[in-house]
Amino acid sequence: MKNILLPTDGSTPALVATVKAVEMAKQRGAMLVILRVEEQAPMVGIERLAESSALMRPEFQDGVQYAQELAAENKVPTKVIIREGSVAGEIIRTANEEGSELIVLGTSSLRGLNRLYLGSVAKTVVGQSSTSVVVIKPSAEEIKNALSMVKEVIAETPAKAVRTITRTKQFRIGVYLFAAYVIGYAAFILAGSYAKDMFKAAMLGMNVGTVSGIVLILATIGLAIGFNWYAGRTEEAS
Amino acid sequence: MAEIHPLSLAIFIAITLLTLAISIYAGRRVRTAGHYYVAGGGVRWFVNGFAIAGDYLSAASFLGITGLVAFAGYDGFIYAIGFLAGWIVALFLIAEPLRAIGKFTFADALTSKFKSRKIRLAAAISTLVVSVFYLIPQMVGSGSIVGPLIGLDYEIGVVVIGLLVVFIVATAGMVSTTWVQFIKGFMLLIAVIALTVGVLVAAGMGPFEFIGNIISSNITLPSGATVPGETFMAPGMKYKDPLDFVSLAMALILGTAALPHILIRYFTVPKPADARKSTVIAIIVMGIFYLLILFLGLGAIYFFNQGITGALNPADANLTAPLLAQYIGGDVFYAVISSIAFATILGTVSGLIMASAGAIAHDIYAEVLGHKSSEKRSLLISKGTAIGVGLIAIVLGILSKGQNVAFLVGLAFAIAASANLPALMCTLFWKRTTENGLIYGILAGLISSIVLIVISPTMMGPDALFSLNNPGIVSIPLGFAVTMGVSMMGEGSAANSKTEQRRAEPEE
Repeated sequence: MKNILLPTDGSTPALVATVKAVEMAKQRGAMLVILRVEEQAPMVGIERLAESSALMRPEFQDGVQYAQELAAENKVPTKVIIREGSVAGEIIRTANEEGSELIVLGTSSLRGLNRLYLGSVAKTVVGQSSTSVVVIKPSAEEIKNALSMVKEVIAETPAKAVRTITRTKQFRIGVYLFAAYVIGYAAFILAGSYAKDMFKAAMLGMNVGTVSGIVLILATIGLAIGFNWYAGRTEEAS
Repeated sequence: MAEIHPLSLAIFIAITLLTLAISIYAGRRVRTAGHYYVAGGGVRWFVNGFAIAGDYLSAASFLGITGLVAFAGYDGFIYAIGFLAGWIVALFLIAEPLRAIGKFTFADALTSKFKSRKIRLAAAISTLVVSVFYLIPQMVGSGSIVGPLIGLDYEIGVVVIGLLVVFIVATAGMVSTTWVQFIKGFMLLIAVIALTVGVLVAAGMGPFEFIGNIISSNITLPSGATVPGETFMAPGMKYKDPLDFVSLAMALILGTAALPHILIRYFTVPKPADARKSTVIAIIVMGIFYLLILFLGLGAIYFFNQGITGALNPADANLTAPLLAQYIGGDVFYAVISSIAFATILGTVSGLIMASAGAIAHDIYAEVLGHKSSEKRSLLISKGTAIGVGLIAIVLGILSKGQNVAFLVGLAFAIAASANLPALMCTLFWKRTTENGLIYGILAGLISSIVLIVISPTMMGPDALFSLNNPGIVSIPLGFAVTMGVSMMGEGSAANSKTEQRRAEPEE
């Protein structure tokens, strides 16, 4: 099947490119290959934040999810690829591997220092790719349009998004663990309030109250780490 | 007036400059409300985890609990356990679903189901009340420790801290707030570890042996009275009324996950899974913190009983941690710990001002009153509001000088648990929730908890109409009951347009 490659990072230009790419894929009956490249370059958090704001990355948006939902609405089949490495290099490599007929990407038209600092992925891809490249330079109107679609997607999702989370087995297990913890905490507080003498009994060279307090804190940390380990494993598996 | 401590002042100035530099650097690129309120949603979970800890561990936790353990033994430790326990609610029930529905503020999350201005207004008011009640003790704390620690007057302390926070939040909002909280969380962790090691080394005992030693010896309290160690290390030194204590414990566990300045931190990470991971990091950091704080407090009372009267100040429990540091590591350590106490206030106050500014500028001004404006203008309005809230905080801090405002933190937790938690839980997990249910639930929780505090012994003395100091045990169930009761009643009347709106949603 023919396919169009859409690299996206969730930035505003990428969202506009997503709208165009879905349109093109629909017209041509092609599959949309959605690519997200996670940069390996060691970036301290503050650089990442600064970059997010320079690219006007909408606060909530996962570019991949946006592309998937938009494509689903237009009945365009999709495939998601997530790579690590240098952005331009991975785009070119993926286009070759997937045999894409077209790469659609947005350019952020950065000015001044931001341009110097961030460089241009689009420029590199156009220069080095053997595949045809469509570079989208979003107009103000197109940005508005793309962002309004984001709002639609989001407006529809809250209830669904919560359900997707609360329906997982992982969340159910979390609720059980929560119930168990609350029972333990309540027992501790009630014993400490109404059965104070019990807390004075000697235990492990200390007393029952101190030992159970320390155990409760350690149990909190242990539960958190254990649950996270389990949830992380489940997420990877799915 | 206390004399100036040059070393403390120097380290304090260094921290201040570092904070300003971060704010200026981060502020250059903040262009939209999204960057301002939630740092573009691009904070990594590890950073956010430390920032949550830095947001939550206020001066009340660091200075307050250390003092409480030194002065009231086991009851102080129970406080620490309660502060940590609330995070279990956040981890298992709130973090991930909340990230899925929230945008900038707590009210955004509640209005994800019903696009209701009334809900938004109720949620914004509750956010403001909780944040202001939390904010006043922080400002008073900053003013009253600045004298003994650095040697500045109360008013100067409040103004300096206030202006610094205004600068942090006005330059880059959540971006700089995140970094201040991250650095503070990290420094606080290092500080308690260093102090604990110092206590155990100076005492020449292992951790359990040390606690055992306290239990088996007679303890002379800072007040001069002597009690057996086994009484000191059992409940009842401070909390005489068990029911009052149960009420406080309820407010602590249920209030944490409903504090607006904590909830907004969850909107700064990209995905629900990141919200969970950052909670786990925060629980690890805070768990270590609350466990070790026991040794800080006990260390102070132990050395006090060894004849080192400088290890605590009988007149001011809040100075316990810095004085302990001075005994263990001399003036340098004292200066470092004092400065960390300031950084602690900076981080928490920044978070509170962000939450309040969001409630005013985003919820009330832009959404409820409908003043939609361009990104650039709404960013300007947000910054202006943050500055306004900061200046009000300074005024409130100066006006409250000498007042005993520590109970306000407990009240903030109780209001959050009574007004915010029922609304949040029902929005997330109960499909039959109605618009009116949320509105009346928030108002009932808010009003009942404030009224019960006004008629409590703290405010009215021994003749109080309500015998408990913490309203949680009454107002939290009331908040849930009203939210659910009104929702179920509303369902009965078919003419209720809100019900239709709910039915219009696709059923699964």
